[in-house]
Amino acid sequence: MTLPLYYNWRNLFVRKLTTLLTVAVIAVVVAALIVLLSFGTGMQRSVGGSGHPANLLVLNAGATAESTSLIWPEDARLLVQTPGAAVGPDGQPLVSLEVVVQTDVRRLRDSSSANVAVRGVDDVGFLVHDQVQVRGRMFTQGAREAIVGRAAQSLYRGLNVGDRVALGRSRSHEYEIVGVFESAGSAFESEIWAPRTMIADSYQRRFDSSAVIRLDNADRMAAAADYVNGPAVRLKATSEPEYYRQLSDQSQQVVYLVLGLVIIMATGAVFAVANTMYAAVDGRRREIAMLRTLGFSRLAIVAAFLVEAAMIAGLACLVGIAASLPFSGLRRDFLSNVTHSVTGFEIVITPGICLAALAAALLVGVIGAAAPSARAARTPIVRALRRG
Amino acid sequence: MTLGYVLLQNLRRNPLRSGLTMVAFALPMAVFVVGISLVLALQQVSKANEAELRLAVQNRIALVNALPERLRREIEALDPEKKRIVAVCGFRWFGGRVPNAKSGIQSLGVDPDTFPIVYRELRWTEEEELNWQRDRRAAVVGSNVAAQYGWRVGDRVTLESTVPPYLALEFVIVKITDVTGRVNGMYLRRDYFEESRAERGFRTPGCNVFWLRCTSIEAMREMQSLIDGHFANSPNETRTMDENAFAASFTEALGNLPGLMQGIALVVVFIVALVAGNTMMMSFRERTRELAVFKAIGFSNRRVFGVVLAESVLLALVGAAAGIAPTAAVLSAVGVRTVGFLPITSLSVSPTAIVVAMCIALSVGVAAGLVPAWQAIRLNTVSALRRVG
Repeated sequence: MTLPLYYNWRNLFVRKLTTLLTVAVIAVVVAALIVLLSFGTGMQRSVGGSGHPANLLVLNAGATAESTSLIWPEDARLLVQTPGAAVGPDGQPLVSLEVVVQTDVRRLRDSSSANVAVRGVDDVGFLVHDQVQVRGRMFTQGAREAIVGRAAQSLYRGLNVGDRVALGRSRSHEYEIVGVFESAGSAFESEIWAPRTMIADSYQRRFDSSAVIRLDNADRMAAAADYVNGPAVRLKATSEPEYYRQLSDQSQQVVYLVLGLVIIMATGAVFAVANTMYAAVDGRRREIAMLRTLGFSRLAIVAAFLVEAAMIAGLACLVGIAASLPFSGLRRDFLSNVTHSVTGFEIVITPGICLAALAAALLVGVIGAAAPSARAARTPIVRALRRG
Repeated sequence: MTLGYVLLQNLRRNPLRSGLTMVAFALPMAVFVVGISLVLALQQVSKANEAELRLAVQNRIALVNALPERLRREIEALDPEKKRIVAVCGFRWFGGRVPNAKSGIQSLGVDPDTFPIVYRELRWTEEEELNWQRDRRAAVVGSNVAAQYGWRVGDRVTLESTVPPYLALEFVIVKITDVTGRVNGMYLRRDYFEESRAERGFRTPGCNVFWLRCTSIEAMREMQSLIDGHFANSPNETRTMDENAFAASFTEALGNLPGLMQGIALVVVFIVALVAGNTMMMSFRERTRELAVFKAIGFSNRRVFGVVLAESVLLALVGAAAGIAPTAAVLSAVGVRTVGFLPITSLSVSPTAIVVAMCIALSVGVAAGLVPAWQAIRLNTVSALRRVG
């Protein structure tokens, strides 16, 4: 026989102020957890989720990032023979040579300067990176035109369609922005893309930075990588998703640090809940003894207090989620210490994060209520009934 | 019956609750103290930098675009009598990494002649400076890096550069520095670096940053506009800024850590206040009758007010102290080397953080006790005595 939930619900209102304060404590922890988690995951998702599983990214053997990699033209030519490379509609293998450079732009938010990656690509680049969707017009090869990623456009000044952005080694070449592109929220959306030949000319670059090879299917990755890493080419091949996963290591550190702090605060909240529940148990000794004489088992009593704590925690979780919602949709960027360019990210409070927060809140509630409810179950019936 | 005795008895009447409240107080306070100490430590780094009167000159377009080496002479020529500039030192990013290591080392090639002057605060001994000037492979290493790889003065180490032409060079460590802000760096001689680059066909000696040590703050400001003005409309336009402005563009790499810490600190204070308020409410409600007895036997309102308030304050202060003391002990024992990216060797709990935390505990204690204490004054003795507790 269990106690009706209505009984628990009503009990919350007997000690309104205490319940309210406990709810507030957990809600603050929940809100902090949600904001920090969505901050961290937003950062990770912007980088970590980038890349196509069948794409092989080729860098110079000594380089750690596209921005510090150089590929000589004679090496680039060898990549055409990579085993397993997919073939495009024109019969040419899908090998996209790319030049990755940087330019300095101003943030819309506070006019501070940010280093944005500029990627020069040929037409084949859009077959290899087929998740890229251009709104507006595509740039014309051979013209000083550019398209900008959605994240870059929303974070930095002067990157709207029709604007002119100054690129080049001495920023003397103006490129007209003709379109905005999306790429499923990946790191590309923080970049500016333009024709490779024009970028190479503007930045006086005789070498490419990287090559991306689209394979027939992801299974041929190992064979293709062996060819690129091997004595014939001597470059460094990584699967594209793996490359971006490595880049997101840095944001992971911040996430760990923050999680550590939240865990300590949550432990504090556990004690706050324990305190409240002890008070509730102590205040209802006679009532508990009464329920026991009516035939409710010890287990039912324990369950009743746990449910009550869970209700407090659930309520707090709702409040916490509501409090953190204003942060949703905020856009920020961070500077990678590997590529030395910025990546924009959006703070999105996902259902997954809310579930994690709910789990954390319930955990806090139940752990905090464990000892008090055990004490309630041990209430000596006769003495409690006689007292007062 | 003294106030102290009453307080002690009150805390002991429900030791479980007092204990829980203290722990609920102590844990967030520990987080608070760590957070504030971190912010203060970072502030100290920037204050130390300010005192060194340094300016950074970089390419206006992007730091990665190196400026030609000859710009050093041009900058020096802007102040021929050396009234404003003490010395100019060119830096080039080496981007080194121990072979097969996962993460890189902040390693930079520096002009060997002026480096000991521009970075005077590294406290060079005569022998260290001599070794630095004598051996082209000389390197100065920050203590965090040295500790991470187990390097000692005199060791030969090989680093692979992650930037073109991806050199692998051998260095000899001549000095290990634990000066705040330099502990994660490694400085090698640019002449050696450039020569090795030239052997691989990269004959464009250049610098990502020129660091200037100036004679005074006024000189810094003058040089700042003088340099940027001089290179305006040239192929090598510059952006000149002080050391902290330069550093600020990197701290954002961590997603604004100080800001994050301050936010967390605020949240912590809020939690602590709620916990304390909660406890004091419960404690008061339980003792309504007892306080009525106090009043009935002639305790003045002021005295009753004091008893309730003092209990709250005592609980808050003891709780805060219980959180801060172990944190201070642990931090001084462990250090922060594990969190490699911070420019400090060890994070000690700063006295300021402790004072601030105790002040917050005090005010939270007062605030939490105020409502129950006020209610105690307003208590109607007769009806409270009648109430069944």
